[in-house]
Amino acid sequence: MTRSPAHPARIRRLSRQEANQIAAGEVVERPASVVKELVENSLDAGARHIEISVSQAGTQRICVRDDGVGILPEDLPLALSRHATSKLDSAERLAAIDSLGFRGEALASIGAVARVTLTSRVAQAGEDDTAWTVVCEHSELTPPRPAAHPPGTTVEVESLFHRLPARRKFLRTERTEFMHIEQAVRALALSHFEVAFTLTHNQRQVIREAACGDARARERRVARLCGASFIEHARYLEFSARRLRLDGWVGQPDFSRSQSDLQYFFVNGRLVRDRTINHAIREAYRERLPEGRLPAYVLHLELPPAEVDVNVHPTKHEVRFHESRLVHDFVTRCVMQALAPQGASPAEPPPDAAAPRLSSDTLPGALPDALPGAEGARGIGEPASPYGEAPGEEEAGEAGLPMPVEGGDVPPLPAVQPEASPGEVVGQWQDCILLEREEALGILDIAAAKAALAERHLVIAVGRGKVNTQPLLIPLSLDLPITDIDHLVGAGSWTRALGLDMDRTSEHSVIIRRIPAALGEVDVRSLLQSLVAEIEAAGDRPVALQARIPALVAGCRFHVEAQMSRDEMAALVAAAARMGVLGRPEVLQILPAGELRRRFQR
Amino acid sequence: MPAPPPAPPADMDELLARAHGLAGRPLAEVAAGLGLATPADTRREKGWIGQLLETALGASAGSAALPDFPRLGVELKTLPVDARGRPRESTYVCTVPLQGAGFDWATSWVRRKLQCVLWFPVQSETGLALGERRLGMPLLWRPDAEEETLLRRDWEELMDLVCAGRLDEISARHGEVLQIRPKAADSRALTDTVSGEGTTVRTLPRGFYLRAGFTRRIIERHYVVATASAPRD
Repeated sequence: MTRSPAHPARIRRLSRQEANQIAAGEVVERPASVVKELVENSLDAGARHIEISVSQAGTQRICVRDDGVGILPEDLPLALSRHATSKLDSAERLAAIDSLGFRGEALASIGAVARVTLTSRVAQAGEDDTAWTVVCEHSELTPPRPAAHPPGTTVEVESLFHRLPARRKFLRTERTEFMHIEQAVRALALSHFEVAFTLTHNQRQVIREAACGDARARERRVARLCGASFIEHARYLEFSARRLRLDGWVGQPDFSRSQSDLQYFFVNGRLVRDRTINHAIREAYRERLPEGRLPAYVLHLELPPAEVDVNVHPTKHEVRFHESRLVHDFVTRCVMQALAPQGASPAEPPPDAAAPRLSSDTLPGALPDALPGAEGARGIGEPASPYGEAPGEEEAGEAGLPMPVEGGDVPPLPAVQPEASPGEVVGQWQDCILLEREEALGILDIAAAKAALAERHLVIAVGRGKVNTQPLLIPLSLDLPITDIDHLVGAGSWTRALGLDMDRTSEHSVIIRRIPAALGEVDVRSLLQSLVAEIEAAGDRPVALQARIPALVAGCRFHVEAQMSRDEMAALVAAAARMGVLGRPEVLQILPAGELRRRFQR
Repeated sequence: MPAPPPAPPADMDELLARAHGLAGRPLAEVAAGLGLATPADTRREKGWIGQLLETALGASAGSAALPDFPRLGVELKTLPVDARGRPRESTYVCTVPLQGAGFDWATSWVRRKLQCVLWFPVQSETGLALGERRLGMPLLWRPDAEEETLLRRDWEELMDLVCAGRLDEISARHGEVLQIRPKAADSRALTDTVSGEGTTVRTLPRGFYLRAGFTRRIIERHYVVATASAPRD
């Protein structure tokens, strides 16, 4: 809709902030572009280790920390100005760009649409080895202040697009935006094998890649980032001719994809989506791929910087080769040869590439099934914790108070003293969770921890006379000895107090529909058997149910998952600490480092 | 002697009482009680289970536009679960309006369909014959504020793409809890839509589906997935 004004509107010069915000649109499309720009700066600074952490898919906070050369204090304000860069010292250099960034746009653009804190310390700062920090909020800069920071640079971006509701509206769900960030980091990690990367989202580590020392380590990185099945179906290739060099992995035709999500082509370390390259690779696969299927590949092309023009587009996905037909031909022939049956030897997957290991490598985010194409591997949002949300939870706060109990010999409740730090979860080993503590290894018995938690929650709930129950997803129909069912039916006050929804369906069978929420993962048959044993033991004497709960729960078996997720483990440990059951020897055993050293006779 | 199919329930209590009475019963038993045979052919089992429950609960022969229990505003959804209590598949909600799709969330079909759902879990373990599968505990569910937000955001994101004629770009990866997929029933049935260039093209009809992760979280929140060991001799 254009209006036709009676008088021409005056032309005015845009303010610096307006100009910056408009230009920012080209570079900073979404949180993932911020991550990409910042990590590229770190790579250009020669970083060996890059830590990326984001909150709420980057809309709240993006922080990239590196151990690169750093920025001189007097250059810090310049770093946040538009068209300022250390990567071009003359216009001639534009003709041969060997760094990822060069426009001098990224930080200024980000600074126009967010609050940016730039902290840096130069690696070899002589006598003055302090770090300095500047803050840029919507193009307004503060003067540099001294700060504490190891050699290298940290850029923290907060409140991205908060002042640009129009741009914010285009942001997608956290899942989608984080998917883009993860994709960007995955590509960056594939572009520089010699650099270590970590990506943390909402405090959860999603990617952790150590620097790759050799070919085998590189292959393992590809397996983790692109899926073990890719590397199993890929061939490694390495060719050089004249000034061109191509190496990497191409998926064999039987590993074709319906999407282009496993296509990584790097030109001098820069991810490229280029028509010439696409066409060259398609050409090599021609006839080998079914209609509509796309090849998968991770390829690095190296050529002299002067022979490729990267100054085509701000986001720099397109490049122009000076001798594009030559590059096209080279790539096609290399890939064809790698795919040929008698061609290059197939990439052998390292024997341990897919073996599950008890290390942070097996974090959910790094598992092959969480890779592109694997749908729903991560579930939605924060995984629901079976302990964190357990009904009856609200009683926890009062757990330390003595409970009014009617009649019976009630064991005194141990005072609850939440332990300061139960330790970091290392992983699951058999039916145990291994915990790393300072100078000690903790071994937590999962079933015993569940039983101890169930007991505490149930004692409290029965004491209050209000047991929360939960329906069984599918009611259980159990065959039991007739006398057992007689006992259960006869002890109606106990089953009611426990909240068991149970009916006799025949002489020797019952149906169970609800059980106490506190007993969530109990083996229901063991619960009924234990209950029958307690009813028999009580006989005709009036016994308060609450007094018998420890014995009742002790007779129950609890389900232990073969592979608990890290979140599930952390939640169980936290709940055990909160409810003060970690002091029980059946729950937690501690192996002090000194003891280990003694055994190793060190 | 099979009982005649019940009339629509008069109120919510009656519906829930009927639903509760079915919990834990094998499908063959429920079918026999209504004088229905359990089909041997399990290719259309999901449809059959849904119809069986509609009959047993007295749902009026629902149309696409009306909920299964129009007087109560309740939609009935079966939820096939595996031995570990996880949803076997995503849950169909309704078709995607491919033409003239300028609606907003408040009046959208997805929202209306999901406003009040009676979830009915059904055992769906491989190797378990159709007639032997048991019905689970019914759950009357309304999305809470958080669930509604998740649904709305996905719906808006997906409908933006639909309206932009970018239907072909939508893959099952889009959407956190709600996704768009071609409706599986008939891959030859085509419908009209407008492409990004503005021309009308024929395409497969699409449906909105709830991701299994979404229903899984409902299950985790509201149910215990109980296990019981075999009896000891």
